[in-house]
Amino acid sequence: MLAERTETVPYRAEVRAARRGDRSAFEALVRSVQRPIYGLCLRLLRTEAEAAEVAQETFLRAYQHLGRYDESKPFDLWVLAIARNLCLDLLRRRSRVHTQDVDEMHESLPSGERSQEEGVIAAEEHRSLETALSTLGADDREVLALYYVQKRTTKEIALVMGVAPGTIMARLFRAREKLRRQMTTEDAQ
Amino acid sequence: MNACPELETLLIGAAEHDADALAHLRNCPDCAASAEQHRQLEKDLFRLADPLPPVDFVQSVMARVALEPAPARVELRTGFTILAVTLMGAVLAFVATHGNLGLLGTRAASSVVAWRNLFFAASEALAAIWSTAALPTAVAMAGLVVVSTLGVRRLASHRVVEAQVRP
Repeated sequence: MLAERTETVPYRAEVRAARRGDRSAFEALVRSVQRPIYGLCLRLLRTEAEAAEVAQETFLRAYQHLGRYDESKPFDLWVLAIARNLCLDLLRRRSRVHTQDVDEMHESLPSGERSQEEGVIAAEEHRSLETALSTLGADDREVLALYYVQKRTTKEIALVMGVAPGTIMARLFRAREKLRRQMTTEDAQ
Repeated sequence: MNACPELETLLIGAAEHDADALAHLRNCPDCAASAEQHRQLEKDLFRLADPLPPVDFVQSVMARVALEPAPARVELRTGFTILAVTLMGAVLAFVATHGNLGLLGTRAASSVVAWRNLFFAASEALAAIWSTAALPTAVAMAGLVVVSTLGVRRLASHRVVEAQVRP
């Protein structure tokens, strides 16, 4: 899938125009990829204010360093990698997690298929899943968010995380296993 | 029935349609139950979606972008800086050799010989120190390495922000 995307390389025209100083082209790029960027930031940082700030900083860095962008790779993955690095840096600087922030995140993360029919039970299941997710480490949240929420391929995730593609399936399993154990513990309580 | 393999090996094997893994899952209720929990969890995870950014997100980004010079202009400025430094170096070399750039080769060779002599002299001095005071020398060198490492670590922690734009 990455090979297919690499051949067509979406956003190439917009990137070239933005490099020449066309700000409306860059605005189009921001509109196109803002949701996955903000989504990853929120999954990693767990507070809306920080996620918005880091996502903004991500796009600013992308604009400043557009000259370094390798056009043979997908633009959205390049920006995701910048967002990831900024989030991980912020997390390294953080000393502890505020439970208040985690609660804030639960309210802001939507379900992809939430509907009236699913009702209260689905909402409760969704909340329980988000609660369990929030107990995982940043590495686990990141790989789960990229694979399941953003529907990225293992090759794309490897490109964003700067690791070998062969390690992604194992990382996914371990993260999912932690999540399963966490949810089993929650159910037992 | 054989002992259960690692769940990770089993599920990755099953995902790749490995016959042994699939057969084990058919015959082992415990592993089958764990696999089913993983399958259900995957189904639930796939239902999650990215949240929408704040409504003024794009405007906020573009307000900050508006304060930046165009990327092409930055590249051009960098290129001109490199060109200017190169030209300045060439002019300095020309002036230093009084217009005879052929002298540069001779001077470079002389400099290599001088550095070579310095290196040998320093090696002999170190060997002499080592043969007369090995322990104090080793302690001093270890101290130097520790202090340098701590200094580099402190410097690196201040440079993390710059390293964020690696891709």
